[in-house]
Amino acid sequence: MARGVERILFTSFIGLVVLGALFVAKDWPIRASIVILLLGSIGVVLVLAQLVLDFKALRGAGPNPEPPTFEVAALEHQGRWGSLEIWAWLWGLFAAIHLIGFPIALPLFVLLYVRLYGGRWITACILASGTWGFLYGVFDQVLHVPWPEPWLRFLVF
Amino acid sequence: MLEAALEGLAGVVQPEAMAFMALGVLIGSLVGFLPGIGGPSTLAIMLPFVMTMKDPLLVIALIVGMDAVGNTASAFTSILISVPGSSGSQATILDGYPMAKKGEAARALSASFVASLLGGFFGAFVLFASLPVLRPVVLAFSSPEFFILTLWGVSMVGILSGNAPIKGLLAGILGVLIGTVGLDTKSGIERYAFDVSYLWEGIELVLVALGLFGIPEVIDLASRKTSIAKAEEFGRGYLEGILDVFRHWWLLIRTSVIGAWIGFLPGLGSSVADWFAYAHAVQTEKNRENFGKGDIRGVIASEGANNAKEGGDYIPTLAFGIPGGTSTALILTAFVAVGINPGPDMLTSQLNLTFAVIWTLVIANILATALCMLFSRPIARMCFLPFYAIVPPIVAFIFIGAFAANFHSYDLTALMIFSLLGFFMRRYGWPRPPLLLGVVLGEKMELYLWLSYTRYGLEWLRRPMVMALMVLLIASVVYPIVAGRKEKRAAEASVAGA
Amino acid sequence: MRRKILIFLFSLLFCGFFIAAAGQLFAAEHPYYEGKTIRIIVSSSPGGGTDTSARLVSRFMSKYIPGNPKTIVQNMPGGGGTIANNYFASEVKPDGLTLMQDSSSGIGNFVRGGPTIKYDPRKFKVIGGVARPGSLVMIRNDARPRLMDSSAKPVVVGDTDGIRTWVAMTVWGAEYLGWNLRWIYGYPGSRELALAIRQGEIDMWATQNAKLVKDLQREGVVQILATEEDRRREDFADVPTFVELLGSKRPSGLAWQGYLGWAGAPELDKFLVAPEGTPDPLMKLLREAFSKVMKDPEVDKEGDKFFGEGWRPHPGEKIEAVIREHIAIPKEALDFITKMRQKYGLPVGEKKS
Repeated sequence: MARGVERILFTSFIGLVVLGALFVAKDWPIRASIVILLLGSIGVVLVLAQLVLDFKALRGAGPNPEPPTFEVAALEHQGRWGSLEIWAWLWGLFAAIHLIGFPIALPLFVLLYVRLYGGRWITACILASGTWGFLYGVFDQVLHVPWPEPWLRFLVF
Repeated sequence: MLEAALEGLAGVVQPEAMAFMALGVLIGSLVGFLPGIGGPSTLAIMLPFVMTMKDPLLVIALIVGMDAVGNTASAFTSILISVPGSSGSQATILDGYPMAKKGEAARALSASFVASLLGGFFGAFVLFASLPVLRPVVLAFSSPEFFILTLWGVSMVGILSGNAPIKGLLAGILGVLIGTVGLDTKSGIERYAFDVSYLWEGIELVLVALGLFGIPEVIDLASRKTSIAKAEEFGRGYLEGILDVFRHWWLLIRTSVIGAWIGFLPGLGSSVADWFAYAHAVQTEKNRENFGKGDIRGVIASEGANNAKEGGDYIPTLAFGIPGGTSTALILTAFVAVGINPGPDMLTSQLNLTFAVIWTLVIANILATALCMLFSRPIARMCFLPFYAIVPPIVAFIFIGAFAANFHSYDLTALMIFSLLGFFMRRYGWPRPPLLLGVVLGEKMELYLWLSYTRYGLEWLRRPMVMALMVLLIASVVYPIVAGRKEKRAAEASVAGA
Repeated sequence: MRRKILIFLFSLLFCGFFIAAAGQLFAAEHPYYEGKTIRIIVSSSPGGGTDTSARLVSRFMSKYIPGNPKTIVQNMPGGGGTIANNYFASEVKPDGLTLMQDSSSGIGNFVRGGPTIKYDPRKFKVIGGVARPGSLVMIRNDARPRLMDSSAKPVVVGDTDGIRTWVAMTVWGAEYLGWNLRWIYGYPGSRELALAIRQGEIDMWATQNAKLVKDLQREGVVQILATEEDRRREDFADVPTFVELLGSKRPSGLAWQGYLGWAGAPELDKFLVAPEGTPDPLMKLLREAFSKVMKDPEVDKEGDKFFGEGWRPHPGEKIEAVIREHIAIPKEALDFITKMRQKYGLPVGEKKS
């Protein structure tokens, strides 16, 4: 049931994106916007059709719709928090990269994750140092990648 | 012709050239395996060293060796962790990863390497066979013809939507919208850039692919705290995979041809080669229900095409001095610097060098396949490692790959946004491949339609090549429907008869 | 005994001071760049002309800078060069250790303006630059008769975005020489344009790639109408300059200023800059090194391979002057350009408020 509502919300979100795109595009000269207006209008019609289908599925409470043809079924997530846990890690990594910089955040993430989820210290250290070695060796020394400045510069020597 | 062929071969098998080729294959395989470090960056780095080399044969051995094999090794990450290693192995994920989850990683890997090898041969062969007709064929394709080809891509969206056509089409439309972000050359307008200069050059395809396909799978693994595959016995699959390729030899040939042609034609860009091949397989093969759930044919189709396209890519480069893409542009620079003069000379006075390129494509593919086969066992074992040892490296991989798109922190922001999109699309049953196709094809479709119209008005519809292509297009759409109906009727008949 | 110890200690101290002073003296002798690394930021992705120039320069600079510092090249693509320029203007210290390889599009973007532009190229200190030979305008042989015949089908000019500098030649040619043209644009790049002119999808095009032009000419596809530069090219000695073509019909005043504003200065192509505030002695050192690099015969050969013969280096001071001149084009001239573009159906670009 809850999943059904979520589907409707997602479809509506897509619809809003398409509408937003149309709205922005209407001010452009015709040659830039013609394809977008065309496809966008078709898109709006399709979104409405999909919303109808979603509502019917909700009301009908039929069996769970099968997964799309070219996808393996999404596994049901375990535990209370389901996927929120890993999302928290990912967003945490994202924030860490911006705060303390790529070369430190990534190995740190690897180290912490391995350790906190049951890996041994040695595994954690090997993987973390491998990550760091790769970042430093290939990206820094060979490619000379310009790392963006971390926001907490003073924490990074 | 024969002497040039032998001369080319002789030049390429000298010890020094072979050493350089081995080096090139090693680097190329590493680059293909690791996401983000793309061919262009590596070639650009190699360029200064290459410029100091004087012997054109050595340059060919190194550079062509490096460039030709990136797609072989990229299958590793596509199959094992659903992360596209290079733009060429995206469609491999659709069937490769499910196979890994079923414990059939070894089978998928060996099939993909052998398919890549044979596909690469085929690309080299197409290059060789088309030498006499190279120029007229390339010249026959201009904007209207390219437009029809992109329509073919649109039909793929329909196919890849499978049983959710509305959502699939919407995904495709969304993809086209994403593809329009950036400067529109025909009007001078920045579309959807909202005054953020990062968006001026558009959103990199690799960010969409990594976010859409890579992260959602990692989230799955992490949420269920499971390893990629459960089954313990997989060693058998190795040989099975090799046999599979020969069992489906006709499919391999067809998809290699598709790959070589797409590499050949400068209009479409090479990221679509494996998608077109995959969709073609779905369209034309019997018993399609298994596609997307671990059907070896999906892997064969995709991998055969993406190596074949490398060979095809060299055709406009050598025949006209017109590079097919960034990597071939760099190759061209390297060639010119060493005195290899692309253009009509390549087919006359420098024919031996052209053959050197062809032979290098052949030999480099063999070396790369051997290398990958060697490592596939140990690397495939990672499918059985516990999740905490797998998830962090994969995430690191993905983040690094994303960052290498533009070396800008917004790359990561884009990655997170597409990850969310991919995650929700998966959750709510929205097919993802059409979105990727939309990104790749949408802009080209728009462009060629525009160029055709401004140049020819509506006359272009009457061009003979256009009409021929339209007929082929309609046939390719209609055939599977008709064949499907015949199959169903046959199945019903047998059920009724039983 | 105590005295001896004291004398001994004093001498030790004295020696110490002496050594320290001598050490300082030696340190002052060490060139600034010794043991250091120069970082060259490139405003485009690997492989293009800007990147190639940067790598060419970086390979040889080290040889001619006292102290022989290491040089590394970092690509910072995006925004047509804006991202690198913004970063360079705000984040980079003027210590001579970070330089930027920019191209004329950095100037072009600045002139276009907009909220994303957070740099001012006039404040950069230019070390030196290379200018590739100007574009050569070519026309298909079978289209040539139609060029001056306004009753015939117009000759089709093809371009990527319609605002390339050479397009100015075609527009002024149409206006003042009566060329019978129409423009289509939107092609992704030179590869497609080269193919299109071979196929006859477009009839007229221009490129800086001399080799491509020669090939097309040799194959009998095109003839060359004019060169963008201010004097005839050595490798195409029988091709007139555009100014020669115009002859007496050359406009003056605003119309000509407009042309120059669009066609741009030939010296402005790829150039190396140091940040605002870089001390003069360092600039002098870098500029001298640059000019030595350009005189190196190996660099000459390499440059020919990459850019075609006829490329020219230009000293930093000259490029700085050209940049200032180019940016100082009066608004009326810019309006004239816009008017001409509108007249011939070329893109006018975003309207800036």
